[in-house]
Amino acid sequence: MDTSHASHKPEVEPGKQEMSSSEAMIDMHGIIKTFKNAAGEVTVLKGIDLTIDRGEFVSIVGKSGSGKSTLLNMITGIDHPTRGRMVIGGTDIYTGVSESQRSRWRGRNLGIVFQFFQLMPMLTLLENVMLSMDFAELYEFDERPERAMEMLKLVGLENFANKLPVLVSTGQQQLAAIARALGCNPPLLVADEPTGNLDSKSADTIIDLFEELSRRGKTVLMVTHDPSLTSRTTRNITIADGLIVGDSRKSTPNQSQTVNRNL
Amino acid sequence: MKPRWRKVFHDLLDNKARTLLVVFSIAVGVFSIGVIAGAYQIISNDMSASYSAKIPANIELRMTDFDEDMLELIHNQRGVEDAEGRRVINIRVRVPGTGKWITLDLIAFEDFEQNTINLLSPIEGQAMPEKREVMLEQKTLQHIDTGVGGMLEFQLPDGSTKTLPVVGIVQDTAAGAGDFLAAPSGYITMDTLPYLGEPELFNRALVIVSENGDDIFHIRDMGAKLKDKIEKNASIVIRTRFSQTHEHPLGDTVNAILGILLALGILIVFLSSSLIANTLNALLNQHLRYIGVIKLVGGQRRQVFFMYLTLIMAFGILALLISIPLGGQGAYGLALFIAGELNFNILGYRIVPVALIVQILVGLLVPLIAGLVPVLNGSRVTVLRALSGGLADDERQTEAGDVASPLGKRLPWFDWIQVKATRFLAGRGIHIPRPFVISLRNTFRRKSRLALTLFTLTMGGAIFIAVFNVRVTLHDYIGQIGKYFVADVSLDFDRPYRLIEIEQKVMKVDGIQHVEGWQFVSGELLDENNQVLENINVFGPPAASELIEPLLVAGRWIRPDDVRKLAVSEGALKYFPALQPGDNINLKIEGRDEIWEVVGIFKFVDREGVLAYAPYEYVSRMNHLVNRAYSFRLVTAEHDRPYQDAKAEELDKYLRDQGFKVRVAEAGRASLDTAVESLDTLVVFLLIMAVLTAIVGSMGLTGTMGMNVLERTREIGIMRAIGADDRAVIRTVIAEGVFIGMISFGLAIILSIPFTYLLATIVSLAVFQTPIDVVFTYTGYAIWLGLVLALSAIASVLPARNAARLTIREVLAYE
Repeated sequence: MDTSHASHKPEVEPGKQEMSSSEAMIDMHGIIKTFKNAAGEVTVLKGIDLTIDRGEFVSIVGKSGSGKSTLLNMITGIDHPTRGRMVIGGTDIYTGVSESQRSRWRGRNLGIVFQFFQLMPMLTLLENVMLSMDFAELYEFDERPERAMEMLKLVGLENFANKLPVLVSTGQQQLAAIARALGCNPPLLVADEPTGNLDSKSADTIIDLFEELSRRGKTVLMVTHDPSLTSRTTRNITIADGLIVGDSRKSTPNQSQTVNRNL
Repeated sequence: MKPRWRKVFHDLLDNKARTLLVVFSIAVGVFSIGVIAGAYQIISNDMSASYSAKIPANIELRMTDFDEDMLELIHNQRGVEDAEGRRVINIRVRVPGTGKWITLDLIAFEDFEQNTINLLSPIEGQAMPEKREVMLEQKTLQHIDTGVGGMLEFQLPDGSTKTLPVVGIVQDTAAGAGDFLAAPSGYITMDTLPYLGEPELFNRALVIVSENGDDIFHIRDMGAKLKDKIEKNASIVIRTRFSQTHEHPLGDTVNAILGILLALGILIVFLSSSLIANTLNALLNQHLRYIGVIKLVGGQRRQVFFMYLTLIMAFGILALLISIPLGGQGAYGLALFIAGELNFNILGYRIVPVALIVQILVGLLVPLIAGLVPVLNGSRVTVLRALSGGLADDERQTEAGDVASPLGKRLPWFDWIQVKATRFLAGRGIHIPRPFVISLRNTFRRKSRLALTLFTLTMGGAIFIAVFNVRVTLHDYIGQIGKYFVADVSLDFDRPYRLIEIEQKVMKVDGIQHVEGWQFVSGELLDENNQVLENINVFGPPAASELIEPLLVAGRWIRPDDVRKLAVSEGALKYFPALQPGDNINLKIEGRDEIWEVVGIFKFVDREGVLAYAPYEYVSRMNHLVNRAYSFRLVTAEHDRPYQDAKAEELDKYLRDQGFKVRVAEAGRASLDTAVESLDTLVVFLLIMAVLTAIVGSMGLTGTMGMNVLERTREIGIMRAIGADDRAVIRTVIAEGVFIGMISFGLAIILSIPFTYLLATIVSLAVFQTPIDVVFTYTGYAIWLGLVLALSAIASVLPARNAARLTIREVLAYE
């Protein structure tokens, strides 16, 4: 991995945002990821160069095994590249940074939405949203319930705040996961197949919400293999066999749609 | 090897930490049982064998001075196989030039070569002393810093000193065999006695009965007959002691204590079985998919059942490989330690077949029994359920009585309570940090696993706490017994002195506040047919003495006008269970059969016969020693042991300088402190067992935390994904472990109460032959609280560190 990049290391101080104000939210160069197993080595990402600007709503599409989820793991710091440089918001997240430090950085700067929601089953929706604030130590302790409730209102779940995940629908669980991802007000939201496990009505609501967030200035990056969703994003990146094979931009997302919060 | 057996082999090696945990949890239980069962067998056999090999005297007669003719008379009595004479003198001794005097029982032999009773075993140096030489019993070296080649300085009654060289160290299995508190001993020839200012006369006769050497009633009867005969020949028998030939006098006590340890060992096996059940449950849950695949390709329930049964057997065999050799060594070590404490010999290291069989049975059967239910459940699971991993989910998703949600789903009532409680607190402005909420709620997700873990840890804690309570209970009892020895200094003389004379002298010594003379008379307790039941030692303090605070069980204490009335220790109840104040008992005192009235019954530890008190006012008349006494009790200005020692030393020197024949001047607490030390040895054993149970408990917790973490890998990954750093993950896991520890502590507090009563009763019956009042101490609770917090934190650290090390990709891959 190239370590000569002069960008910030993710030093984490409570209450501070580590993202720089440079134009590019994500800046990656020569990202290679090779997995080793008993059968030998498999290179999943074969030298990805990609820059994503602030406020973009980007979809990454590709077939199963194309490397899109692996690329997302590189961006979120969930996994580390074999080679290459990954700068998120001006911070080189892989140079001299431990897994633990990266987790802390991620909590403060990045919201992740998973296909299977990944809410903590023993916590209520409100507590799930507050959890990320607790880990990131953002906001005063007594402010966190109020802030979490705001996030749940944003996604239309204020009436379900004190329910455990098992007692709400899958669509509501995903909205709660988005509320959690927004809890620390991160500039970047990364979603891995966010609608893959939802019915079409719930999926629509989620995409409406992403558009709304993008309009508010958040950078939203979404992995999907549903071509119908790509029409809603401002930029569409296609990956095949570990390489970017397509990158198309549109002017703006559809301004006329409103968020339907009544799932 | 068939593939399915290869899978069993693979399962053993696949998760080494899990295999080790199961193997060690079985091994701890098997080891404990092996140690106790082995030691029990070794001691039961060797204690008596070693004791009887040295030809112990059946009857020991402590008499006034007598000569060869009297010994011949004893020897010639019908029923006497053999008799030997000894002279035993209580003498003060020290290493020349050092300040510390100790009191030694110096035993003079007529002829070491011809010695046939209470044989000595040479350990070091000469096997027998010459004239003006001394040999020491090996345990005496614990009290005095010398050895073969050293010199010892003896202080004679007139205050002068003589020195003798130490020429040999011997073992005397009879020395102190019946008494934890026996004085250290040394050995000389009869012709050394004049050098020490003593006559060449015997004062102790050792007798072997010619038949029924193991019949204590016959031995007592013989003793009484001999005493009669001796006293008719103008000698006085001061005290008698009876022993069976093939039974160590402390055998019953030691066996009772080992019985307690055995019970604790069985408990440890029981606890470790719950750990095994927990681990196998988790293992079967993890293997459900495999079981599904096995069944999918044609595997039958029976085959699955035997595969996992084989796995359990393999765990058991591995545990046996560890625990059998260690258990054998432990048993020998424990037996050796007890042998050292009680001064008998172990016949050598050996494998005890019974212990070995017990270990094998426990090592194989307990895991089988513990694992039967999980394995049966696992083998019965349907393919569909196995492949969907249904059993791996949290327990009780829905049950009757749960709380319905608007969507029609039901929340387990316990989860509902937890959520409501958190909301209730939040409504009052009390917000619990969410990572801690995760710890709290995770604790109750696997309720049956939690129950087994809590059971193990709670039992460990309750026993641990109970042992401390028992320790304090025993000490408290000794303290109560100490109320019979309130005097700060005891002064015994070789001849009687007038009370006023001693009082005038000792009151001149600085710090002496009070003195009183005591009398003493010994006799035998007789049954209705005037057969000897037991020795009885009657103390005669002034009736108004404040130096005894008796613990009366019934009746009243002695009065000055009591004539042939006594208060007797509850040891007499062993012979007369219905004995009550006002009843008469038959005594033989100085050859006379007398009837005495019992006015009270008090608590006491009877080691050598029954103890009784009668007023000085009467006993002194009986002894023809009115206003005189051999023995005096003094009260000093301060009551701590160093002050008592100092005053005893000062009085001893002062009175000797004044020409008094002081036999011994001793601190009041001296014998009590020795008793406490003996009891502490017992408590150490109990504590070792308690620590073992605590270890099993913490292993249970480690296993549980490991399984919990393994099953929550995905959740830990989520936490990492949303910003939890290493510390946050570790804190969450440790908090859960500590929370479990705290719950177990709460339960242990409750359970320790019945455990304390049970253990205290068993121990007191074994040691004191009487139940004693239980005392509780905060010490055990405080130490266990600290220990359980530390243990639960440590038990959680490894799983927590493992959890923190997981990369999120691994976590997602796991899912």
